[in-house]
Amino acid sequence: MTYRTNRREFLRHAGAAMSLAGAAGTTIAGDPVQNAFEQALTATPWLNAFASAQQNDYRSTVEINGRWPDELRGTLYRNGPARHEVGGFRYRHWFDGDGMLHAYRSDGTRLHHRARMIETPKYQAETAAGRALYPAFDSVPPNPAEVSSADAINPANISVLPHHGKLLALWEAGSPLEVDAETLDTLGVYAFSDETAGAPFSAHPRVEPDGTLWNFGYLSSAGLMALWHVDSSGRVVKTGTVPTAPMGMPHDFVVTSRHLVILIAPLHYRTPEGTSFLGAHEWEPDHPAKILVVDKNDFSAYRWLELPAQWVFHFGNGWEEKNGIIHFDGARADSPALMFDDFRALMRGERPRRQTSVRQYRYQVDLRRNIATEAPMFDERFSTEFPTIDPRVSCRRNDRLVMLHRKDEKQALHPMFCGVSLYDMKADKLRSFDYPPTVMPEEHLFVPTPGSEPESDGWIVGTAYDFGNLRTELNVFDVAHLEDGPIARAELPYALPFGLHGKFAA
Amino acid sequence: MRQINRYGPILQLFRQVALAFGLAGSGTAAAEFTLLIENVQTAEGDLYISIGDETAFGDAGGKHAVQTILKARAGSMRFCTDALTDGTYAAQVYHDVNGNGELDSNFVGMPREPWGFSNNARGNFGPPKFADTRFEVKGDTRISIRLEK
Repeated sequence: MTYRTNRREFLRHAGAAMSLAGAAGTTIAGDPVQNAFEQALTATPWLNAFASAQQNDYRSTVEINGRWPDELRGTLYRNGPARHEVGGFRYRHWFDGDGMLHAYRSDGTRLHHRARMIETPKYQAETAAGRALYPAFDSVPPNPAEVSSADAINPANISVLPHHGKLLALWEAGSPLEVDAETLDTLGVYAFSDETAGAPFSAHPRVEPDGTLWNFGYLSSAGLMALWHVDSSGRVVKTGTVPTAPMGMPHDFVVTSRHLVILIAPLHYRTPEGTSFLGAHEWEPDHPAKILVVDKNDFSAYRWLELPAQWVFHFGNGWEEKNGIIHFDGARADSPALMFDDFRALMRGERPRRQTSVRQYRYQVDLRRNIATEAPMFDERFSTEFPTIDPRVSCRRNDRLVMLHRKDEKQALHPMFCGVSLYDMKADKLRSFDYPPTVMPEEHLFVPTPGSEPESDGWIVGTAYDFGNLRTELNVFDVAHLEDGPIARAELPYALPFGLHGKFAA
Repeated sequence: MRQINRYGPILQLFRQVALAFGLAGSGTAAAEFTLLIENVQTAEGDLYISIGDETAFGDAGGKHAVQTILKARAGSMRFCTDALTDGTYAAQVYHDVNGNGELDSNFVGMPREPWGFSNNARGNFGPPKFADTRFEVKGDTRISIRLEK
């Protein structure tokens, strides 16, 4: 593989297509964030990953290098913020931009990629107006409109969920957006039922192997945690609410055979006036992190436990012993500095000043004694994030975890993750693959071999942003030989905005 | 489990039975107040209208100057009253499409039927504040409210 920095070639490829920012028509002269980003971009190739998509519809077919496994059949769907500027106003945070949904499909020798902007009501209104109309997660554009409901500003930009024959693009504070699984046409705001329409449905629902779905959603101003139980056919079995004040900003949770477990960091919703939604939160490290444990069979039965203040974006999995001990794991940071510093710096075109350490922890909750404990999962002191598992062991005991990792903080050419790791808990063995220095991996998933024993055979599938080549690529690894590198690799003819979460639909 | 409805005060108000053309009573001939209600999506169900000053707004609990129920008619509807004396008011309307006497909400308390306030204030993640919905009545007065879900 050769890696070269060639921004001109990138622009030549992309320039023919409609520019999203340009489509908005007018620009806001002197938006300092936009100007700073554009200035930094010329000298900082990795920053291209945080520029807006150059097109609102991508389609390509490319050759696959290596051997694509015959049994690896299905579609990798991915989501992430892709329109970071509207009408010359650049969003202030990585998580603000409008979502773009991707589908990667292989016919064995060629990879077909399709991507479309998710046409939320917000996207449509702002595209028609040619400017940012609404406050986003952490940005308030000039003269913002009032926000009557979360779905008015829902960018559907965090994750994607194939479930009961539907493909749903997920945000964190509003409804799913339904998207056609083949054409990626946006079909509209999705309601599981009339009674649940508009209620918040977070971006990390947990789906059991039988298709049973659990989720939460937070309503900060109301101080309520919403809880969801949906069966494999998409029917709402039950919902509930738990008063939670002050509310935090939980992004993910775990589910065991008997409980929902939500860790709420002391990032408290305090001052909603005159600031962004994120800005309304205060980090209060003198307060504990609270753990909400809810009975799966009865949402009115819950208890609270405490851990030291900490911040966790993502959990791998949760499971429970018969004796009432709950186990789970998460990517733990001491503070939400990533959220407040790093992801804002990216938008200004700055390399985050300090690399926040995120370590994979294992947690135990003892329901008999009502105590929670935590400890690092392994000795290696590098940062890991985006933990994922074989979906066949979701909500039950797992022994393997796929993660992105980051080493050599000072050496790295870029501030993102640099490789993918597989940790075997039973053997306490960590195996890793490091990407070339100009390649920034995105979330990697464990895709099982059909018919194999859970957590045995399978592949690790993930995309990566090559800022040397200005290309997005897809890689497939054999779970048994991760450290040997990809067994199949395909490079798209363009680079796509750095994304967040995906799911493989077999 | 207790369902929390943040629009509850509006509902309670109407559960007490609406008083058509309300509490006017006094003998002085008042000027005419006209409320134009736009975007009535269907002729099913009823429109619940209430108009009051700040003491009647939201949780404040005071009496509204006007409360009434109109049979819905698709399109725009006009409501006139001479029951308002000069002053500062807020008006709110909701469309009880299924005729169950309530503004239906989802399990976290967000309305599921069309509603609107004066000045078309929508609030920020909750009902709007009085300051955003207030309008002056002085002589003949005319306002409009657009219903949205």
